[in-house]
Amino acid sequence: MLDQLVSATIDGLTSGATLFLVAVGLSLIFGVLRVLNVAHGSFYAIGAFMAAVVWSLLGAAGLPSLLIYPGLVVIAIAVGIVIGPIIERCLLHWSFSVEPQSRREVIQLLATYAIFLILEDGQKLVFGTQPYYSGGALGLLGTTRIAGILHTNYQLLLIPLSGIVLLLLRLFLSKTRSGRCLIAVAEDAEVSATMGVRVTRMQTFSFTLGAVLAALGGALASPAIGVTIGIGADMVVLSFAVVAIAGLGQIEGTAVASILIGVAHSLTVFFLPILDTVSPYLIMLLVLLVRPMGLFGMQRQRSI
Amino acid sequence: MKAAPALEAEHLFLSFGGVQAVRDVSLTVATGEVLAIIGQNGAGKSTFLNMCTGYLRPERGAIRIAGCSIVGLKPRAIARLGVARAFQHPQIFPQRCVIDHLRFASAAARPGFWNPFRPLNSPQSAQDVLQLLAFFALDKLADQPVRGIPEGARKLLDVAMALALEPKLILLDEPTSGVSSAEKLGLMTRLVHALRARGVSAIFVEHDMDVVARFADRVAVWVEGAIFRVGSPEDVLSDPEVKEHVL
Amino acid sequence: MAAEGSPTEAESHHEHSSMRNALAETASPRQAPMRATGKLRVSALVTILAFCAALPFISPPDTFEFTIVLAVGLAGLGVALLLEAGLISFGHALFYGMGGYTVAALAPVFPRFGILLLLFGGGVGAIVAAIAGLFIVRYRGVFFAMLNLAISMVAYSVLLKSYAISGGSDGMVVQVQGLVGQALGPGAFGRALFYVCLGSVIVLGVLLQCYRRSPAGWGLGAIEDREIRIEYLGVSANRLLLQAYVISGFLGGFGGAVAASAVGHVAPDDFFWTTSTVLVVVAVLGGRGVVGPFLGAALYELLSIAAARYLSNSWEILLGAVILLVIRFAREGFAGLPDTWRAASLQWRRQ
Ligand SMILES: Nc1ncnc2c1ncn2[C@@H]1O[C@H](COP(=O)(O)OP(=O)(O)O)[C@@H](O)[C@H]1O
Ligand SMILES: [Mg+2]
Repeated sequence: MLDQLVSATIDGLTSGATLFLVAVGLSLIFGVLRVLNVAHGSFYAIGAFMAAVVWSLLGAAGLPSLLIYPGLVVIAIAVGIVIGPIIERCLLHWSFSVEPQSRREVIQLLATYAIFLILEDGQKLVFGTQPYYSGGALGLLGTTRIAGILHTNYQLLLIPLSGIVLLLLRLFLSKTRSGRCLIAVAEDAEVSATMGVRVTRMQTFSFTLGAVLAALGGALASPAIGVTIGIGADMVVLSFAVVAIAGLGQIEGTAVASILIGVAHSLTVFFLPILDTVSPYLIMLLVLLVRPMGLFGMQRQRSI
Repeated sequence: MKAAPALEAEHLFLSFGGVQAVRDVSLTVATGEVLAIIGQNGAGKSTFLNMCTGYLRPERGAIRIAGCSIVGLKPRAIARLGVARAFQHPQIFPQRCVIDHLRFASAAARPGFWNPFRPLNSPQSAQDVLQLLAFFALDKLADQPVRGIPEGARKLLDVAMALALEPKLILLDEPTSGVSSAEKLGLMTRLVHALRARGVSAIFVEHDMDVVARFADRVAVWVEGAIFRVGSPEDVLSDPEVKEHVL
Repeated sequence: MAAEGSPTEAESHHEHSSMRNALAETASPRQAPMRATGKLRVSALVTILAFCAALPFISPPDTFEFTIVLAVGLAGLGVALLLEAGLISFGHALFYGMGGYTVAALAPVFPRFGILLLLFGGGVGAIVAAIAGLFIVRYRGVFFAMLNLAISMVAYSVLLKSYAISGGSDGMVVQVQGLVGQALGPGAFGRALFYVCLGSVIVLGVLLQCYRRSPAGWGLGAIEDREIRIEYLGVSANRLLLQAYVISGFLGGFGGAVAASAVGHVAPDDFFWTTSTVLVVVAVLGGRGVVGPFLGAALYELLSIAAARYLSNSWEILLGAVILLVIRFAREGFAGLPDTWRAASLQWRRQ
């Protein structure tokens, strides 16, 4: 019983780790652009597909398998840098000037939804409908026995890795000039524009950064999951649940919520399998009922 | 037993971060009384009205409307107690036309609002709506979307909506700012007469001392979040200290 | 009302009557063309309806497609209604699926009373909407969109798991044999279903139009504009939205019930986000109002027929592109195109 508890918790932490990467990207994009990126799950899926493809290419080319680890990061950055700016510049940017604001929100939701549809089908065209497996990459770093159950070191490493990403992100936001500009735009785009912040550039940058984070989540998760069409749709809803629980735009809160969701999910898989797919949403429901702005979110009151 | 006053506020406090917007404010408005609030920008007048209508919650203090404590109630619940409000920045529906605003407000105050088979422009309220339009000289704009009408007309429409609710207490935040000075006095004359005729208690925030002197029963002078003087217009407006602080 | 009994009553009465005269003068030239366009609209609508009624005779083999267009249009109408409040639901498949599964579950009980089944389908949609709505109508914007999506995804996964009740991923066969008590042959049933559906569209359309013209219907649209003012008038914006949400749940359930009766089969895909996508596309493509979503559904059907022939593998790419184009260049949808064009040409001439 206790063994199972420990092992479920560890599983939860590892899945929470990749979930955090995706969700924090979603939160970042929302914070700066005020856009809920429905296509975010697709970035995750594309990262995962690309990782699986590169894994099989490495095998085919006879290159050392360990190259997959730096490869995963490179893939994520490449995916984000290629699709992020194109989507933001060409398909989203025009919508920032739509008035009134409530209309703008609907339009932007529809726009990212449309992008999501295009990317989902695009994946089918490019990667086909068969699942990809790159499970071989899991075992390369060996295994560790914790409380009687074997865990791959790769998955265990994901936990500190996400912690490092969180730390880097926080350092970037509070210590660098661009990071502070980003926060300024998130607080108030108009005011920061008058103070000389290049708002447009910041928007493109944060959308790209968010896309990189989502693709990184997908690439890192890819060895542990079967990569199939449809993981993107599930992921966007799941990462929205995380972000809603945390409060939109809360970075550390997103980490807490990811762990909460990850652990709760794997615990239900072990102990209450009927509820496994539903548990994240039940948690979201409960949190939103008690705190409509999320655990760490703050209400912004419009002055009238 | 004497009827409870229309509005009683006792020892209200509210601050935003470091700014003490309202400090120990106590104020009573008797039934049927018309009270003016004057004071410089940022004195906390609008914040006070926001607290009286449930938009902001005071940190300390009590507010009673007709004897009923309203702290913690939502704006909607307070509106149902017969309190109507017009805003410093008109809160109207930009994409809708002028006359529909009044039809909607008029329907909101009557039974049958939720009946899906009763049209918005029902014959029962049509007369009232037309009278309100004429009263505020909005009739020429009746079919225009409010997005395009002048600022003065937007303010009047906001006030007209408040009036359409047939309230017992009405709170008007600078009702005539944006209205041309030529029309101001005539408008206020009719407005205040209408309020008195139906025994509506009123608070209005005003910057024009002529208007205050002519239409208020009492004046409250606000300085930096606190009430500096309350009294009859003659006494208060001739007070040199008030002149120094406000004018 | 405001001026009654005031000392200036006479004066304001005078003003009032002169105002009325002024109104009357300006009204005749201004309202005449409006009434004319109103008449034009009504006669256009009657012509279109007559044409629709003739469709099963014009092209008998396509009766099934026509029925599906009406069914999807009804469900899309539910999405379009919420769009009036500035809210988009990415999860209306929930109601559509519920309506279909209700028919599937109850068809063995009333196999020949299809009309009853359709009403049950709508009713279950409305009940589900009332329950989910208690929670959902508190949210706006992205939360509203995503919570709808989340609830429909949960329903989908629950459905897949409850094999015993729902048939899991196989779905269920729907055996409706008649509509008002008599068993019909397949061809006659298809035609009868089409006419029942067309009749329902007319009745529901008229009822919905009544609602949209009522104070609550107007208030629904005003939520998009300035919710706080609605609250200050003593009206609950959440309650306005709940009312609309229940109506849209009914429409979704009814549409799903019609589709299930026509297809003869329901599957979990009816609950999947891809079905929600269809409803969103139909609503956005068609535009606001009562007629728009049916236009949208017809366009959608034409599009899917064309796509099946030429680009069967990139159907969703096409849908995505259509959404992007519509929100960019024809924000009021197909039904709003005349207005959009008029505004565009005005602006163009001004420049
Ligand atoms: N929502 C708010 N957040 C922060 N400060 C506010 C807010 N509303 C008002 N204030 C501050 O409170 C003070 C009083 O404002 P207000 O009540 O609007 O003044 P008045 O209506 O008398 O001009 C001002 O200093 C203003 O800046
Ligand atoms: Mg003010």
